[in-house]
Amino acid sequence: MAGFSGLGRRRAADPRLPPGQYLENGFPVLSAGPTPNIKRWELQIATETAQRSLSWSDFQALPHEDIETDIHCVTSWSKLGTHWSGVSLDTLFDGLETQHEYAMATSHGGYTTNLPLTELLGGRAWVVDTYEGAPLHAEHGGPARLFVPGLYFWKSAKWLQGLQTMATDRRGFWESMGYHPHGDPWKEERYA
Amino acid sequence: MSEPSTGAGGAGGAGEAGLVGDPYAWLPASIVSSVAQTPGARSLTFAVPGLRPARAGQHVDLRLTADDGYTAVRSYSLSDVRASAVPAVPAVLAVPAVPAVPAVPAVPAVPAVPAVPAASDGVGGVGGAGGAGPVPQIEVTVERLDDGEVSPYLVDAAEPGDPIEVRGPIGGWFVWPPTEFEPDSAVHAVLPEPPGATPLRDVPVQLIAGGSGLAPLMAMVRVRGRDAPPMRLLASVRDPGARWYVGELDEAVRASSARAVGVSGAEVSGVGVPAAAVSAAEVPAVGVSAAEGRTGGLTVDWVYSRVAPDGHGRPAGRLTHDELESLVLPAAEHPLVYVCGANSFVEAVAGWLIELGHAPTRVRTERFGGV
Repeated sequence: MAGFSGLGRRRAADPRLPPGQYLENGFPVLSAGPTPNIKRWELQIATETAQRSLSWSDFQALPHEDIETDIHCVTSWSKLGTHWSGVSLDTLFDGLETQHEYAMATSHGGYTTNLPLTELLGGRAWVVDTYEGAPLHAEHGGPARLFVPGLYFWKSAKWLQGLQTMATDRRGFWESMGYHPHGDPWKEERYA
Repeated sequence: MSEPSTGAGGAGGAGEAGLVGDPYAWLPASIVSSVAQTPGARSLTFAVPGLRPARAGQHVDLRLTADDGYTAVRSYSLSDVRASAVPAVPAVLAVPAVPAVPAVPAVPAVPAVPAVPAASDGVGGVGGAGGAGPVPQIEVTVERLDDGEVSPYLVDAAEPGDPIEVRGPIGGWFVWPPTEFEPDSAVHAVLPEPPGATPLRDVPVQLIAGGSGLAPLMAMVRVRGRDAPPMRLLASVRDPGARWYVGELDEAVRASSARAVGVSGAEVSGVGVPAAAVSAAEVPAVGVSAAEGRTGGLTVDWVYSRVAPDGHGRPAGRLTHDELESLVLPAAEHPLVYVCGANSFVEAVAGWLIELGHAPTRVRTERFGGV
């Protein structure tokens, strides 16, 4: 009589779910520490030759795009058809030249995550300030977070403060503790 | 991280599946034993051949497969890691039959495996199917979620011998003893410890659990040795019947306070224990309090959100900001604080800790559930 069946409670299979993921209807919160209290928001973007700094009003003045997409957390939950609004990284990097192939995202509080620039540009990443039509809640990274839905969600750094390009890949905070330097959910790049 | 690779070097490490190759491969495991904590929660011990030693606070992914191939994966915190480190099986049997070299093997007789903590006093023996030596064991404690897919099986139906797969252990942040990170690592940016500061592993520890968030904190309580810094646990539960590990925690507090009575302050003053904490321990232990402050000391405080036991000084109700101040180690002692529970609990407690003067870099959180 022993043995797992899952009968009666099985979650529906869905082709939108990457391998090893299950469907979540809530929106779990994962953070390494307390939610920071951000009094003055500023975003720094820097390459090897140039940098720019955006105040909150600068950021608000940039064209926002609406995004409908699925998100996938490395802890195995996925959430389908979520709605966000934010500024494309193509816009934020517009006019900044770089030969670099990687970037480190830094959050308020010092947390970091590393990403290849190919995942950040070409319409694949945003800095978002709106979730489901409302200002992004602090627990989910508000006032603004990085949003890279093509990778596991820890790469979408909460409380984004800076993006610095880099010539070679270096591991960020979670990546230094066993999480994968790239993090493609369709390849199950969870840990490394 | 690649720390376990040392054990597999040299001799070709034949036969030790899991120590070589992908450290995050799924490992076949089996249920060894289980014990009910409450009607709604159960601790399960798994034997996992090839598992790397786990650290207190880490979690594993569990994969269950039904007869028809349907699978479900969930993450669970480890509630006991002591039996995860087992003495390595000597590699002698693995020496290949190439007699070119005379009798003395090229490999040292003692396998080059990282030191095994002496704490393998945990749970019942070694067992496991088909292994030549001890098999690593881990414990998880699972609370039944009524609309859950996996937890009802683990709490109500799973039996010894049932197969399961384990991936991990995972995590390097919400762990105690804490990792001392390299000064140039990405993590150090979050932990700007000044030069000469007390090593993190020697600072007092405050554990704060909401409900089933107690599981990884219990693993931390269980691994603490006699020379550990003072540890204080605050656990919030709905009612007395919802407490986990009660007898074991009572006993651990009694044992640590008995030790404390026999130790003089002078003996511990060199170990980085704050003077204030040491003097607090001059008070003899009473019940489940007051063992705090001694080397290896443990204090446990329960608070009840719905129903308090008879005679409990505090009426039932949610934890408040002011209570937190009186129930946790003061910010002046710069404790390392671990908070685990539902998101709403962790969010409230972590916010209060910052208001009370605790450094955000000293507050580590693990949350379940959403906003």
